[in-house]
Amino acid sequence: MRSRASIWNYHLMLLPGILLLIAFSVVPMFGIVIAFQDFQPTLGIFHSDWVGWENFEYMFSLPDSRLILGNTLSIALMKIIAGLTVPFVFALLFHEVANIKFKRTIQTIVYLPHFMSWVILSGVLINLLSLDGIINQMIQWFGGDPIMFLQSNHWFRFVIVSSDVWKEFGFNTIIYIAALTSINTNLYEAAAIDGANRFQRLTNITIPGLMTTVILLATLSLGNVLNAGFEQILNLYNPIVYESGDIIDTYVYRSGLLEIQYGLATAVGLLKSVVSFVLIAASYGLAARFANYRIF
Amino acid sequence: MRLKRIRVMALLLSMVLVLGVLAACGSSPKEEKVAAPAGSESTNAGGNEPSATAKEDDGPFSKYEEPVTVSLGRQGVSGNNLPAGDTLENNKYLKYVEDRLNVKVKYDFSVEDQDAYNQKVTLAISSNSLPDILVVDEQQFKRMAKAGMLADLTELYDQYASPLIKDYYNSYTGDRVLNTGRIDGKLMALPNTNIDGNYQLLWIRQDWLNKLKLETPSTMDELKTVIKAFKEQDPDGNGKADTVGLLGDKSVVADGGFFTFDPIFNANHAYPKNWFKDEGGNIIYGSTTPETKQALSELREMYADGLIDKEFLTRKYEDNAGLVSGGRAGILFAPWFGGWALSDAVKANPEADWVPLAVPLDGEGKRNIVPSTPSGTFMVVNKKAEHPEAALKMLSVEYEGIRLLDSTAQELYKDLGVGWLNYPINVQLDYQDSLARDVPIYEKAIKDKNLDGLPARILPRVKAVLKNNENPKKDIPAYADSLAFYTAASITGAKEIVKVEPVFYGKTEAMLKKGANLEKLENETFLKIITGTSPLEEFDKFVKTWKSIGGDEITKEVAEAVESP
Repeated sequence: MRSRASIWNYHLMLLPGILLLIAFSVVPMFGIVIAFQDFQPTLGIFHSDWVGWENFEYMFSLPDSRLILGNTLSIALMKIIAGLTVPFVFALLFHEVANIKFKRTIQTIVYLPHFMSWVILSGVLINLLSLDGIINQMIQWFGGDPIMFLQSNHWFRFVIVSSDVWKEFGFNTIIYIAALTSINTNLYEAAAIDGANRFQRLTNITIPGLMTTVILLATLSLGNVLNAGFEQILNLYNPIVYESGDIIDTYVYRSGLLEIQYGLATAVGLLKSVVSFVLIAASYGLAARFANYRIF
Repeated sequence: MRLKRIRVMALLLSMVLVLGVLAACGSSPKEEKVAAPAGSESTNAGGNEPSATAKEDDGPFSKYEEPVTVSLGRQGVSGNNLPAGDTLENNKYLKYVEDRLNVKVKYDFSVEDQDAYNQKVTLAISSNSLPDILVVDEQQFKRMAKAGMLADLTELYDQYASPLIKDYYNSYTGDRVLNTGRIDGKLMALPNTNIDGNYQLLWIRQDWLNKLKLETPSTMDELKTVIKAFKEQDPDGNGKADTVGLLGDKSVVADGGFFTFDPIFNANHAYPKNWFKDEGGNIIYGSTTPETKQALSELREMYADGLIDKEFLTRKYEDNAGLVSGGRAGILFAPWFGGWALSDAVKANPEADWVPLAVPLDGEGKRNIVPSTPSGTFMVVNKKAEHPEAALKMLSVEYEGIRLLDSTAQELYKDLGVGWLNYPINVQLDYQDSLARDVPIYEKAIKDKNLDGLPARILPRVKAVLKNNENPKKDIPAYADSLAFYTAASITGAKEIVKVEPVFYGKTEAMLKKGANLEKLENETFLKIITGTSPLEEFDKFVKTWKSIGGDEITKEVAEAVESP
């Protein structure tokens, strides 16, 4: 009796969250019917004409549909991989630093970009990467030819991924640093007595200690695989790099908001949701299997 | 017992909350449903009102007895020259309209950036919450009309548009401007008027030409020589290789656009984005012709040789303007009204001497141009607006003010060069030949130094031209007016000009639906060819893809529209 009552209290605590979820995530779901309509704002979603699969058929007839799906996946995957490894390596290096003052300074500097919007950072980047920007000046200093990073399909993704890492790695390092502090220091002392050197301590204690965190973060990030960074790409791309940089979200933005094609944009968005759903389910399965992470 | 009560309470509370949310979710569409018919009813009432309560003097300039508030969404203007303290939302021009009509203007939104403005408009369309008056592009106008959001202006135009406004529209042959605002015979929008001569001129720095001892270019080859010299021979003499060649814009071609390459296409007898008939009488799209391919190959060569600014793709309008005012660019394409934009560069550096030319010429010594589409923007009135006629009355009064036909208006911001865009509705209206018809007046005034008998509307401009002639570049607003209205306007009527008239303007049904993707394909392909990312042969592939994903369908529609106008 007592225990059941306390469960009710917990459920009550859950309520605000569920209500917000319903209001902002479930209710807007009805909007997906627009994907099957010739949507007219004055008629609303209840009275617009149904067109069946027409929007989807048109979407797949476009030469771009496969391209944007491929771009979205590849950019997001590159971001996930880089976004996991860079902070991991950085946290390990950071762990070895003894000087507290130096540590604090570095930490502040590297996580500062996280708090700036892409609108600002893209302006900075465009300047840095321009032909007479500092990066090209450095390349020329070493005898190379200047590179047009933002006008080249070869370089564009690299710029997107590395600038994303630049913005976020400092902040993501925090999780690893937290995980590092939870490793029992007795283990290091015992290893030191057994004669393990610094590198052996790293490979035998630190890395295994962090592995569960890495796997957990990796599997969870799979659910995000179709979010390749709308704001960032919108601020950095131009028509010539559509080929390598146009992602689902930027496409939906252009065709839906700028060209007023609600039906088509919703259809593309719905496709994204379906693929995301499959990936989230898969990543949850993987997380349960490898990291013993379960919600239910 | 107590525990049980808490449980029941909690259960009740949660049920109430959940029900509340469900009710909220349910009610919003319901409300909408109720609201829509109510709105349309009130529209009917509003539509009938003027005729029901019409009085003898109810015309374009009659003042409302009770104050009327009108909501507007508009694109703001940068560099509007307003004196400190005055804003787009609160200035003498708005006050002038308010005083004469008793109409108060309230902005629902006002944003400067074009994309941001379009976004606001499309959001307003999708949420069905339009301001009373909006200025939109053709795509948006057609969508709104199709969705039944717009007030029918047919009768309102007859009754409330001033004779001047009607004169402007009538000056276009065959009613071709006003027709763009008509749908099924009903006037659903008031189009702006694109006057003759909006094509791009070549603007070039004469002082750089003099310094490098170069002739004024006229053909494509001479033009290339000049660009090469500007790029490589350090025309600004600062010892650094920091000048760029021809400026560019990523829209490649655009009617009346800045930095676009239209003249280079036209010199190759290519007219992208326009519709023509070939010798066999078939409808063809200008972007798919062999001449266009030829022009692209020429641009591609120029880009590879560094004659076109290598970074034009990542530059926005402001970046290009920065290169101009910073003295790093000395050659560009822009319409006659580029005169104002370029005067900024002169403010920073009085040495800069920008001159407009109608070049490059083709092999026969002609400068071919496509006349502007009759209109590009449209003033629309929300069907639910309480006073749809207010839009026309405001526009009528506004043009009394802009053209200085009213003595009060002549005193507003006198000699401060405040832009007309600060008036509430930014729809540009003028006579088809407005540029050319004024040039002789300037010439005569300069010769005689006599201002007697000139109409008020032109007086400030003539004064500006005279002022600048006496003291060149001392007064920048006068210099800008003189450069645009006189120097550049005279060029637009040059004897080398040959007009190549398209057979079709406007947008068909399939264009509205598929045009965006076709345009994207076209723009992307052209840019890739120019910058050398794709081989020139990509053009043939583009033509094939273009046809298959909607181009053929659109061509058919255009042909039908041309056969049966």
